[in-house]
Amino acid sequence: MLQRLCRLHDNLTAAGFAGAAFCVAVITGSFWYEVAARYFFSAPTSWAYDVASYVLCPMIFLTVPEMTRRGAQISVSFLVDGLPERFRRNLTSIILLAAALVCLICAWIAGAETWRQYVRGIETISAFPVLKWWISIFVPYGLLGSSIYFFRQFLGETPAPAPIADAGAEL
Amino acid sequence: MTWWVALSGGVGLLLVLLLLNVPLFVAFLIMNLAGVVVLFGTAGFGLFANSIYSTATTGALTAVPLFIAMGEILFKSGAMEVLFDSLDHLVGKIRGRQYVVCILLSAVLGALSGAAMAVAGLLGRSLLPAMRRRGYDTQLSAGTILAGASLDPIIPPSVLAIVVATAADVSIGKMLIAGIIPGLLLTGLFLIYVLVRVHFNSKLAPDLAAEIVDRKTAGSALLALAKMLPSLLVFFMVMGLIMLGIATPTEAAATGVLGAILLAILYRRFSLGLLVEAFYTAATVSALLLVIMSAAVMFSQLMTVTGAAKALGEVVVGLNLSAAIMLFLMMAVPFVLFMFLDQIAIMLVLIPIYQPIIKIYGFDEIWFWTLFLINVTLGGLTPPFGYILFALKSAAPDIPIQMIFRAAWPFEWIILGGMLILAVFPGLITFLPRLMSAY
Repeated sequence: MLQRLCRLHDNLTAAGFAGAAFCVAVITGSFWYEVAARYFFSAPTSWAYDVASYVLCPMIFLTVPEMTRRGAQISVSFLVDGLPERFRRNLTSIILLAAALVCLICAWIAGAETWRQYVRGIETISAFPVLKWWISIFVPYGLLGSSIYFFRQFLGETPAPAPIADAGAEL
Repeated sequence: MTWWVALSGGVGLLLVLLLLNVPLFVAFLIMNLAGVVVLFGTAGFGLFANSIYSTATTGALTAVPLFIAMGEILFKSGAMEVLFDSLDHLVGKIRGRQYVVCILLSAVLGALSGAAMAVAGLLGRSLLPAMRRRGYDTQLSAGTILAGASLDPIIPPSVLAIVVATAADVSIGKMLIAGIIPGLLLTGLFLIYVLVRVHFNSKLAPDLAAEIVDRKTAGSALLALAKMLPSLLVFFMVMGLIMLGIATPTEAAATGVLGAILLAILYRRFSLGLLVEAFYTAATVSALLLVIMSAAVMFSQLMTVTGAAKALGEVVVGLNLSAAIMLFLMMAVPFVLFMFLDQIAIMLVLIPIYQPIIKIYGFDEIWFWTLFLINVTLGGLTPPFGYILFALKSAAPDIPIQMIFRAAWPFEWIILGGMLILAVFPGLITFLPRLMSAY
């Protein structure tokens, strides 16, 4: 049962990550449309910039759980790497549990804010307004997904290998 | 609570968390959550959530995934090989030519992507073995690769420049353009250094007669230059549009993605798979960076709320230090910290602390933050924990890390020298951004 739930979580994360890549495509397409409309037809859109801004949020927070699953989040490891094996393992466990709890708390805070936006029907303030919760809901999703992965890693699961070239290297 | 307790407590907590290997974005979440609870209680949770949301929907930051996608497509388009062949030909028959090719290639790659670690890894795997085989000195070869890679976050387009500009609230376009002359200056200084060293120590480079002349590079220099044109056209399409004030950095970045796709089609490397992979990489790399930013921005708001920003400014005024000494201190602090801690974390902490000081001293913001960006890049090259050093080490595992450290130091000093020149002659940084604002 637990394994099935973990698999479901992995599949959801993978689908979310594909959604994040699609968000990059949407950002690119929006600006292509805007450039063509503005510079070739002298008819700038009122939505392209806003859509790209909105889509940035899901792009980030749909990717975050996948990065946590791979253990690819950026951190400073030199001090911990130098510790004796037993200490290192214990410290890593404590950090993973703390990270899981912090992400869970933050997911709850962000979720509560999203709920407030939903209940009040709050819209974004821009030329192309949309309901704010359509965008902000990805923040609690990303943090909750990360929290679960940190917790799974705390319980002994090893991070999944990265199928794509090491992303950290791109920075 | 007094401002200095809040500030030192927050920064101290963050440093401890970072040293304990806590993921950066989690460390920032902990610090800011603690700050919100202490200062506002649960009433501040909405502020906390909205800070994450507003950073994650900052339109200017959409340039980050776009530039990464552009770089990724260009790397896989075959443009790299064409550039290398063309530069290899253009450099001609001078002693130590591979050092020159390496530095120039890095500078050109910087103009196409801006990923220092990727370039160090790439050149470490491709160029370094060839240089060693041809009898070039291993340490100097490694040094030129490290130096060349360190140019990439300075020469636009640079993701780090966008992050600094967004966090410091200055024009992204100007910040990008400001990197051009410093990048060229450092390229020039690196070239002078290697050529002088080779001139005085002939053992560092093989005889020209020993150089293997590749048939592929034969042909006229004009042809070699013509082969480079499509790639350079993409760069000028992006930077030219920004500089002429025709397009915003995000629009120019999207145009760059289109240019990169056209280039991939030209070199017959384009496929839907390549595009999808580029989008995945863009999402991955930019999310890793932007989630840290989203978690960190609350820190600057807390600085304002606690009055720390204002009080820090008053303390700085009270110190009565000259502008030169203050600039030196403001650059020395990150330089030391970058040796041990992650550049992005230190950058995001220092930017809100530095902002009021810059205003008090009347420093040109673009000038200051460009120097700061070079400092950030320098951090990647500084032993013992510079990330570019380890990228090269993983690409060339048979080279001892101590040799890579030794290889980096001369170029560290050259970059510091370059920073000194740029500090004394601010016009070298501000000239192009000012020209840009004329449009």
